[in-house]
Formats: sequence, structure tokens, C-alpha cells
Amino acid sequence: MHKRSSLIELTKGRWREFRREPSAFFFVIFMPILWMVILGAAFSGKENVKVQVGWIEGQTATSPFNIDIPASLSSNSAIILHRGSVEEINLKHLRGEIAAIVSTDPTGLKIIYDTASQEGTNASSIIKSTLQEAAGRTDPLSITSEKITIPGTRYIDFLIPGLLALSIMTSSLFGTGMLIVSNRRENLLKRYLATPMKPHEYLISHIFGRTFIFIVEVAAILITGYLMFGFKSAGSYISLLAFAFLGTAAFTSLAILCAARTANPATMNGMTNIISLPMMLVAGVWFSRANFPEWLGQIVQYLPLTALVDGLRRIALEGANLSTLMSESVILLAYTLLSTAAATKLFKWY
Amino acid sequence: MLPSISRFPVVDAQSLTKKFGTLTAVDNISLKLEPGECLAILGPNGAGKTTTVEMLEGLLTPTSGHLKVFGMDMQKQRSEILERVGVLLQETNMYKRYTVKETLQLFSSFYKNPDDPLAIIDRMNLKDKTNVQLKNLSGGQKQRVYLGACLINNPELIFLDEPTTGLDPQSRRSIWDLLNALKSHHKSMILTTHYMEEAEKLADRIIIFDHGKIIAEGTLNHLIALHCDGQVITFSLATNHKQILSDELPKVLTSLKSEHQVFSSAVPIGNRVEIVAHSTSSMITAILETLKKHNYEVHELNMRSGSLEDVFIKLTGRSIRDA
Ligand SMILES: Nc1ncnc2c1ncn2[C@@H]1O[C@H](COP(=O)(O)OP(=O)(O)OP(=O)(O)O)[C@@H](O)[C@H]1O
Ligand SMILES: [Mg+2]
Repeated sequence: MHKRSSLIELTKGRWREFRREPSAFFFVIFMPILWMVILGAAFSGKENVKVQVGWIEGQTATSPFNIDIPASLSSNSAIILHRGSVEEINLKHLRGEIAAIVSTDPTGLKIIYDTASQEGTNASSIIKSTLQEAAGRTDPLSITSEKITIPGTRYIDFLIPGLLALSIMTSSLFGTGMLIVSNRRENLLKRYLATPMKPHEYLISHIFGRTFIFIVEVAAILITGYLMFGFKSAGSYISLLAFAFLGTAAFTSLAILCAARTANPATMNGMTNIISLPMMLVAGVWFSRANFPEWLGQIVQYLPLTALVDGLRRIALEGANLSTLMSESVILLAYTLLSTAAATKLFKWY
Repeated sequence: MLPSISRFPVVDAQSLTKKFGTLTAVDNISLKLEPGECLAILGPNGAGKTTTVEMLEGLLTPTSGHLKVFGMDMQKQRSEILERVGVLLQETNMYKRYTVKETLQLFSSFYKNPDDPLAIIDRMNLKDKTNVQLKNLSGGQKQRVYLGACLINNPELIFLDEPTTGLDPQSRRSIWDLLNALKSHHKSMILTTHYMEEAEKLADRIIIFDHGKIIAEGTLNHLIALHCDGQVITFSLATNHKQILSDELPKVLTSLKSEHQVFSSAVPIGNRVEIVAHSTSSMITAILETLKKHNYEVHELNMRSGSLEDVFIKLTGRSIRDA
């Protein structure tokens, strides 16, 4: 009889456990797709969004420029004008339904908006030029704008690499951690310990086993992204998969480290949540990190999810490949090696 | 496979002690297992059986003491030893979505010279379950899968921690048949059990544990002759009232003991009293007289020759069923 390799058998087992566990399958495959569909639909067509402007009824509409302010604003098709009482308009502004309020008094004209808000700033500049032109400003230079869509600048193109990273993180952390904890609870780890199987093979099998699983989840996201939103990666899919594997290895090792001594599923759940939730918010999965304060950006760039999101995005959007992603790759490899080493030291078999 | 002919005992444990914090679970025990021998460890719950066996399996490190298996040191040559050892733990659940074949293939991959998983499946009488997932097996069938995993490396030394606990009588018997077949292949075995019948059927030698110590050791006949030589008389009172029983039985016993010195032991178990007697007729007379004096009617009076169970009761003061 030919001799089976314990590492290969254990790894095959990981895949089997995943494939035959319906809930694992559901979360890994359908959750990211659900996110993509919901967010993709919510944010698509955002480039045509109109500017919401508030006008308080009963103000002097013409003074002091002898133009009809509300009429001029309404005549610009990029503006939607809300008319109402002071209370109504202020309330709408507070709720974010209105980006800016135009107000007049005998001394002049005011635009009220939140200077920290992108929408407010945008609205203010559109209001200004609309009214200036209505009042008779002639621009020395005639500029027309041509509307094109650069591939990869849509929100969905930004979002899909982020969702890939997120789904690799959550499925590696939760899947691996829970599996080890339940193996320990059922005394299966102790049973393994009573065989000559080398303990590190059990740990490594989790990383290799995840490889098959993440190929399935990455493929599911990419195929759905392509079919629904025409998403295509600028860089090669081999680079994308290779880099995603580095992420899988890093998060699986982190999960093994968290599960090294835990026998209670609730504790395990808590630990993985503490690790994953803050990263989910600050790593730039949903929005660019460009607007973060500098000190936060400094810390965040060393998080494994940040490295994974950035790397995947640079491959998918900018066509980077592994050799141009040195710092991200080093960060992920460091997490993998350090966590595995620590886990091997700390691991309890029962 | 030839029986291993060895100058060494297969297992040689000297003064093993295991402490969990302040609790001494196993207290300075020594035991040897000769090649081809089957040793049964009996003892009530918490006596330290599992702790002892797990030290012998190399799963727990003894707090103190020396352990050699196949003449090798467990700390230094662990994987060499485990290559030749089979283990059935007291409580394990293997992955429930593996099939029987997948489970045994996985375990076979851990050893240098494993048996063919399909041959093991056949030996465990699980051929029709080869491709069935563990979650769809009965308790007895699952236990046979675990036993198969324990035998996959064709071990010379087998540890079985309560191999039939929780099984129905029929499954228990089928496990006993499998174990008896192993015995005829000169495997060395250590098994723990709560079933006297199991120890009587399988063991060449029996060790009784209590509170982490060995309190008796020997062959079945030796133990019975030593601790239960005579007839066992059992009687019960014609009442089931707990209060009366707990108040009155001790009085009856004291009275019996002070007035008649003919018995060697008397132990109350529920509403029954068991007494080992050498001179049965005078003992029965004594019992009836005493009960009459206390105004009790005897409900049942039985007499039989001593068994392992009686030895156990006499030594631990507990019935094995309560233990
Ligand atoms: N890991 C542990 N930590 C602390 N105490 C333990 C541990 N394992 C066992 N014990 C204690 O050691 C004692 C012996 O336990 P052990 O499991 O060896 O008993 P046993 O004879 O196998 O009992 P049973 O018949 O119920 O299986 C018990 O009091 C138990 O509570
Ligand atoms: Mg036990």
C-alpha cells in the first residue's frame, strides 16, 4: 500500500470540512457577494448626483443684484432647489438632505454650508458661478467639459478589491479559529497528540487547506463582479491570487495563534471580533484612507488588512504585480511567520 | 505480525504521581505490563484511571516518577513509542462529516507502516458503512470506527479507556469480540472499565484504583480468594423509606457486628446489605435474629459465591453501578 502523506491528508480534510459545512459555505461565498451587490447598487450612478440647495421662502429674492435668485438657481439643471420656511430648510440641512443654504439680507448674499463637507464645498462653488453668470459675468475663457468614464474609477472598482480582502480576513479568522476550538473541545486534538503525527503539520494544514477555500471565494467575488458590474482586474489574475494567498496565510496564522489555548467558542468569537472589527473600519475597505489624520494613517499602514487591501487594489486598479508590492508582501509574510512561530510555542492540545 | 518477544515489560511505570494544582489525581503508583498481557483498571469515578492511562500514553507529563514503554523513555523517544501504540480515548468525537473510510485514511497517514484502512473497516464489521459520514452512525458503530483508528498502525500495545461505556449490551458484546480477537494475536492491552463483566471477560490481571492509589491487584481468582473468600449474603428490609433506611440500617449493622463476629464485611448499598460470610448458616441465623430484635421483616435474602463486584464493593465501599 502506498504511504499517504499526513500533511496532504490533513489538508484534504480541511477542504472537506469546509465543503460539507453548509453554513461555512454560505458565509464565505454569499456574504461578500451580498455586500457587493448591495453597495454596488447603492453607489452606482453617483457621478450624476445633483446638488441639493435650500432657499428660505420670504427672503428678498432680488435684492441687491436685481436678479431673481431662486429662478436663476432653478434654471441650472445641476441644481435641485428646496424651498421652505427657515425651520424646514434648517432641518433639511441638519439631516444632510440639503448641502448648502442661500440666504440674502440687505447687505448682501450668503451661502451657508459645512466647510468640512465635500458636498457643501461643491454646492457652494456651483451656486457661486450660477449666480455670477446670471448677474452678467462673462468668462474670458470658454471651457466645455467632456464626460467620460475612466475604467477603475467607479466606486465598485474600488470596492471589489476591498471586499476580497475583507472576505479573506473574516473567513480565515473565523473559519480556522472555530475549527481548532471545536477540535480541542471534542478531544480530537488530544487524539492527534497520541499519534506520531508532527504537531506543526496540523497547524500548517490549516494554512494550506485555506488555499483551496480562498480560491473558491475569490473566484466567486471576481465572477460576480464581472457579470454584474463588468469588473476587470488591471493586473494579472495570477498576481491577484498569489497576493491573496499571502493574505490568507497571514490571517490563518493569526487565527491559529488566537486559538492556540482557547477551548471556549465564545472567547474565540470575541477575540476574532476584537481583531477584525477595528481593522474593517480603518483599513480602507469601504473608503479611501486618504482623508485620515496622519497619525492614524501611520499606525494603520502596518495592519495586515491594510496591507492586503492596498496590495489587491494596486494589482486590480493599477496593474501592479508581486514584485512591485514588496512592502505589503513583507508585512503579510511577517504576520504569517511571527504568528505561526508564537502559535507553535503556545499551542495546547487539550 | 509476530508477537513482540521482549526482555522488558511493555510498560514499566515507577512511582507515577500526577497533581492538578493541589489535587493529587494519581498518587505514587507503580505498574508493569508483560508482553501479551491484558490489564484492566477498575475504579469509581475520579479514581485517577484516565489520568494514569494518559500518562502512559504520553499525553500527560507525570509530576514525578519514571515511565518506560517498550524499554524506551517516553519523554525522549515519544514518536518512536507512539508508532507502536494504539489509543482509544475516553471521550473523543472525530469529525462528524468525514466518512468512515476518510477517517481511517487520515489516521493511517500518521504512521510509517499503517494497515489498509479498508481491511480495518472489514475487521470492524463496518463494510456497509465504508462511505457513510460519522454523523449518521450509531454510538456502537462510531466506537468501532474509533477502535479501527486505534488499530490502524497494527499496534503492539493498546490503551482502551472505557471502550464500552454508554453502549447497549449488544454493541458492548461486539466490541468484546473484537478485543478478544486482539488478545489472541498477543497484543498487550491496558483497559479501564466500570463493568465487572468486561474485566472478568477480558483481563488477565486486574488493578483496583481508588483516590489515585492502587488498592488491590491480582488475577480475578486471586482477588476473589483474597478479598471475598466465602459466600456473599445479601438481604434487604421490607421498606423503601429512605429515612428509615438511613437511620436504622447502621443500627442493625452495629448490632450484628457486636453480637456476631462471624462475618468479614458488611456494606450497605441502597436498601440492601451485603455480607461476606465463611460460615453461611450461622450468619443467616444471626441476621434473622438481629432483624427480629429490631422489629424488621426481611424482604429478600440471597446467597451466592463471591464475584469481582463483591471485591470492588468491599474495597471501595461503593457499588460499581454507583461509581
Ligand atoms: N485537567 C485536569 N485538571 C484538573 N483536575 C483534573 C484534570 N483531569 C482530571 N482531573 C481530576 O483528577 C481526578 C481523576 O480524574 P480521572 O479522569 O483520572 O478519573 P477517572 O478514574 O478516569 O474517572 P471516570 O471513571 O469518571 O472516567 C478527578 O478528581 C478529576 O476531577
Ligand atoms: Mg476516566
